[in-house]
Amino acid sequence: MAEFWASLPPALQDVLFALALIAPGLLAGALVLRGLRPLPLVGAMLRRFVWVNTLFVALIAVSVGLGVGLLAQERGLRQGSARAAEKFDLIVAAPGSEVTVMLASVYLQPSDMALVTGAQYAEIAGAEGVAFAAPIAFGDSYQGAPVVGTTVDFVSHLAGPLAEGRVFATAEEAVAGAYAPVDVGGSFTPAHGHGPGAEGGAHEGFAYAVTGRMAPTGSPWDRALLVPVEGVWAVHGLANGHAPDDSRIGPPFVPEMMPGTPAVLVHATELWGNYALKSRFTRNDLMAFFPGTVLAQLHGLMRDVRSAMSLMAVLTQVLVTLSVLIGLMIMVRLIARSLALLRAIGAPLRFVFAVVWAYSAALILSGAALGLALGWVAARGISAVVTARTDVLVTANLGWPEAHLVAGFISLTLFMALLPAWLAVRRPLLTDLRT
Amino acid sequence: MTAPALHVENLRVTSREGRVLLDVPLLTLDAGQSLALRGASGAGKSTLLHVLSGLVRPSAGRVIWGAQDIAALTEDARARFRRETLGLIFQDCHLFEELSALGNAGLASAFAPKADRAPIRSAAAQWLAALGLGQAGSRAVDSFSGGERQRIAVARALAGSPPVILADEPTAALDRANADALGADLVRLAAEGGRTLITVTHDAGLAARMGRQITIADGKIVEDSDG
Amino acid sequence: MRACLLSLLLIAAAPAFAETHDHDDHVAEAEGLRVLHAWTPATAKGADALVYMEVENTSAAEALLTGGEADGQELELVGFSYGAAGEAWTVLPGLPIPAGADVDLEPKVLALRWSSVPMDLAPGAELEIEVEVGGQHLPAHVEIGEAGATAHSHAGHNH
Repeated sequence: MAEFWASLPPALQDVLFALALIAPGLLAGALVLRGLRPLPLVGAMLRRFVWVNTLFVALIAVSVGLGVGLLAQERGLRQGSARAAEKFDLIVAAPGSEVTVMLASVYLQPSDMALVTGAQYAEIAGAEGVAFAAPIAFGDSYQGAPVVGTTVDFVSHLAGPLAEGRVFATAEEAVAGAYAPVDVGGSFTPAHGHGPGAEGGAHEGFAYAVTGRMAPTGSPWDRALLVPVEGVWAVHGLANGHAPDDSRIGPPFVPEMMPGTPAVLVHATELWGNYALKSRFTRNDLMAFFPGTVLAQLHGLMRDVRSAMSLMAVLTQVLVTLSVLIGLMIMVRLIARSLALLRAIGAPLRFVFAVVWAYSAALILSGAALGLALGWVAARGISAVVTARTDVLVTANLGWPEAHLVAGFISLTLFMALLPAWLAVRRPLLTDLRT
Repeated sequence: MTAPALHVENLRVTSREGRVLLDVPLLTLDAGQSLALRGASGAGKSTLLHVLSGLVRPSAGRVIWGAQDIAALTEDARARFRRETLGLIFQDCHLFEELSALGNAGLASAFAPKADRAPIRSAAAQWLAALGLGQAGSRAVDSFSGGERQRIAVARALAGSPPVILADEPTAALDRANADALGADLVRLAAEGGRTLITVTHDAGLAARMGRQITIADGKIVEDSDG
Repeated sequence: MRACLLSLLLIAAAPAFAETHDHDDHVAEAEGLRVLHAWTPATAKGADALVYMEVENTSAAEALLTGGEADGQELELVGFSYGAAGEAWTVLPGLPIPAGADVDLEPKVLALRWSSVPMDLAPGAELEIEVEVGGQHLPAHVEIGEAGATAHSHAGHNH
């Protein structure tokens, strides 16, 4: 059975799981309503206590919305951060913390790091199977946007063809990220450092002219200003990686003239090449890692947090389910007189049972549907805020986990709604008729 | 369906504390007769009506409608008996406020067997027309006056074409003119259909329209007279 | 019958290759190629098992790691990737190990994948596989760790 299940396509597994979750509730409903038509009466009762019913639906909707929004948002964050790292095949840096280097090079959250030397860079760039090795030299900024020194290869690798203009051709030119604060044709003087402590006047007298703009990548690089790495070295008063009379930009660099770079992005010619290169440059004086691996490990560590969140979402649902149940019992008292009349004029107990169950089901299903919509809206809203704050494009959409949560909730509550229905038909007829 | 005769014997209803609420050694009523149950408040006349309708199960005795002792039936069987045999009218008309006059009059179509649903709905419309509410069937009942609401309740009681009508103070909430009109209609419609009609009432005018009057005091029949 | 044979195989060490073993039985070696610390997390029958190890090439020539074999079934060399679509393992045609170099097959990087394992791989049990490297079939002794384990129990241990 487990083997058969494992052999099914994931999408089919999701559909079947959702159906299995919702089936008990629907089956209960089919049995309760078989051959009866209580809906016109249920409609009348819903209209009779419209405000109480609205409140009830809202309570269910908010709870379902919270659960759905929470799950969708968490997945959106995970996918967004993973998407932002997709282009970063293999990073080589001086030995240290992989997380620190990943945060700096992929998410542009720079910190002080040891440098890969010119000789090391030359060895990496010249290794068999390397398509290109791009220095990633961060540390400067302009109006809060990171200014990163790199090569033309990296620009095309990261964002594909430019959305506008052309790539930089001299050490004084720059390419802007899709949402960077300088337009094509504009120029800027970088500040030394980043954040509130950046030294605005440190590179006075030097300016980059922006010649092109990248297409959006959904990563913090969309806010960055990309410049030739030679420019970064030059503004810091260092050698520019080339012989004194050589004004071209980009590799190869003269190892002795290269001041070093905090990180190198390595792109291999073959699929397997990255793995071979990782092995090759994992050594005492260098560190090679896949940001994807580090991120997957981090997300793996956060799996506990995710489990806790899922558990909280489910717990919330259970609590709300209980509240719904108690609420329904109270609602039954509200409609007790009408139910007693039905019994008095000859309605079978099964019909009265069906009326109460269908009444509860109408509230539950409306609440769940509204909750799904609410969760979707909340997830989209929070995603927009997170995207604006981190520059990591987060798109939270409803997926199967949310469908499973809601299906389970509906099924459980529809099943539990049998209880107030059962209690309703056990109420004293004459007492209710006289109230 | 022809009206069943009523035969009650050794009927006792006691409260949980053991107090005798009703003690009727024998009561019979021919099919198609009309009967007024009279007496002071708390005398036991409503209790008798509830026992006759199967809403209350007696502590002892038999309540035989036709050949069926409803005191021996299960709750669902008693409900079925009410559905098929009785039309009930209450002092407070007990209408579904969010349904139309027609929706209320044809309420039993919601739970009746499939074959009976359409006949109930068309009978409901006919009874509303017969009671002077033919043009107002689609109006929500909260827009009707007290007299009109009780007429809707009468139409509801008649819609299932029951051979027996049991009414509990049907005119108590109405003004004199409305009470007289409704009482006259009720008696006329019952008589036209050959229906048995039993009504609890304090209304001497309504009681006078009935073929027989029984007075109850302290749970016992103390007077039984033809109208 | 097959299950019994497999159980025997799981319980038994690999005596045929004892002479090529180092001082420890989780090292297998042949002609300058060594497989060390092979391990895999516990895996339920029918699921895919990922086998991790270190492969050393102390020979004078480059050796190509291409995959392996377990219980007569193929072990594929797979590489990890992670993106918006989630985690994925892609089959690699082979991985050259330069002379004098070594390669780590480790979680979320590289592994030998045994698709749809024919029996439960229970924690604490052991497993014999062959690793295809440098044209040779190198026998290796795989320890089965806890389900979801992320490192070999000898992590940090040097031979």
